[in-house]
Amino acid sequence: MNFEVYQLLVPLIGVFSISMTIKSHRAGDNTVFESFFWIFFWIGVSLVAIFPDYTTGRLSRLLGIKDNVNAIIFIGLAVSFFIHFRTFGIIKQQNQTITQLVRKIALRTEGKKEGDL
Amino acid sequence: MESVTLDKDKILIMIPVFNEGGRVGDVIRVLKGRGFHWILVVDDGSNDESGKEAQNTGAQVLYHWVNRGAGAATETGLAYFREKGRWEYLVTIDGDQQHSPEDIEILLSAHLKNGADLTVGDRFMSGTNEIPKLRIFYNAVADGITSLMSGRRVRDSQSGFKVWSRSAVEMICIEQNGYEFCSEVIIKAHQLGLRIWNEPIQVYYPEEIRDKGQNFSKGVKTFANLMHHFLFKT
Repeated sequence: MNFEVYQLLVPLIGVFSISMTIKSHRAGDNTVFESFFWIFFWIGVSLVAIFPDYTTGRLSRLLGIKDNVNAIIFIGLAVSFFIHFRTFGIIKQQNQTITQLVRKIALRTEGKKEGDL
Repeated sequence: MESVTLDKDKILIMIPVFNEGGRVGDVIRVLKGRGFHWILVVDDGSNDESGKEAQNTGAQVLYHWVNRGAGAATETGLAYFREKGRWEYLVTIDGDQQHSPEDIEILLSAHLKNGADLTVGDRFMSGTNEIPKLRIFYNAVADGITSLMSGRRVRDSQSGFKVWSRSAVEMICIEQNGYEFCSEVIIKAHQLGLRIWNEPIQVYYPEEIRDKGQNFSKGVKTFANLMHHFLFKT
């Protein structure tokens, strides 16, 4: 079996990312769901990199997609959509936090503009 | 319409503004002339002197140091109303002179007479207002979406001219920062079982304000935000 550079590189990135996820979880920055999602995501990516033929073959049979590459593209799109969705939600939450802060300042500094203080 | 006695001391008029210098002062002067002395302007991070103009004309002004959108500014006005606990009714009116302050008494009378919790100033009911065709189209789309989401037939969901009873202000908390808050208010009012009344108003769209309000890209954003909010509650 030929061993390519990416088959070492991707799992290394995966291990690093998992350690960062656990660190973030311990610091209270991630929810349990987020931590599990990222850990499984990187385990999955690492497995695909180490055993490309076996994993993509299993996946394509499982999903009923004939081509291994198509199966990977399909899953990649689904994961990408999920990440975009989560990011949109997080941005909306951040926006709400900023609005609440701006509102609190407005109510506490009644009649005063930024430059007046 | 049969007149109803209005105690103007129990009414707070709230005007959310963004760059309405040269217009908001005139709106306040007319309101003062009609005996309304509780006037609150929420300056939503204007780049001009809208807030100072409002203050110089005798209105109370709250400043958003950063522009957050019409919905955010309106919720700040609602929060002020709740915090002070001094008034029975809240009237929201635009600061760009598109609404006629003379209609406030008509809206308030209809509100009291019909025992409404929320009275909407309806721009389309009279059929005499000259409204740009594109605006009519956007409003029709927004009314359709709002009707679908609230499960009731909704008219002029995007009107910013409203009378709120204290109960409505206490029960409705606006979460949408942008123009989608108009639909959000109507949907929540229906969900909470509040009584909504539509009353015809006059409206003017001078050339300088025709570009304000909804347009196609804002409409798409409004729709996406509303869908996301009501599907996922974020």
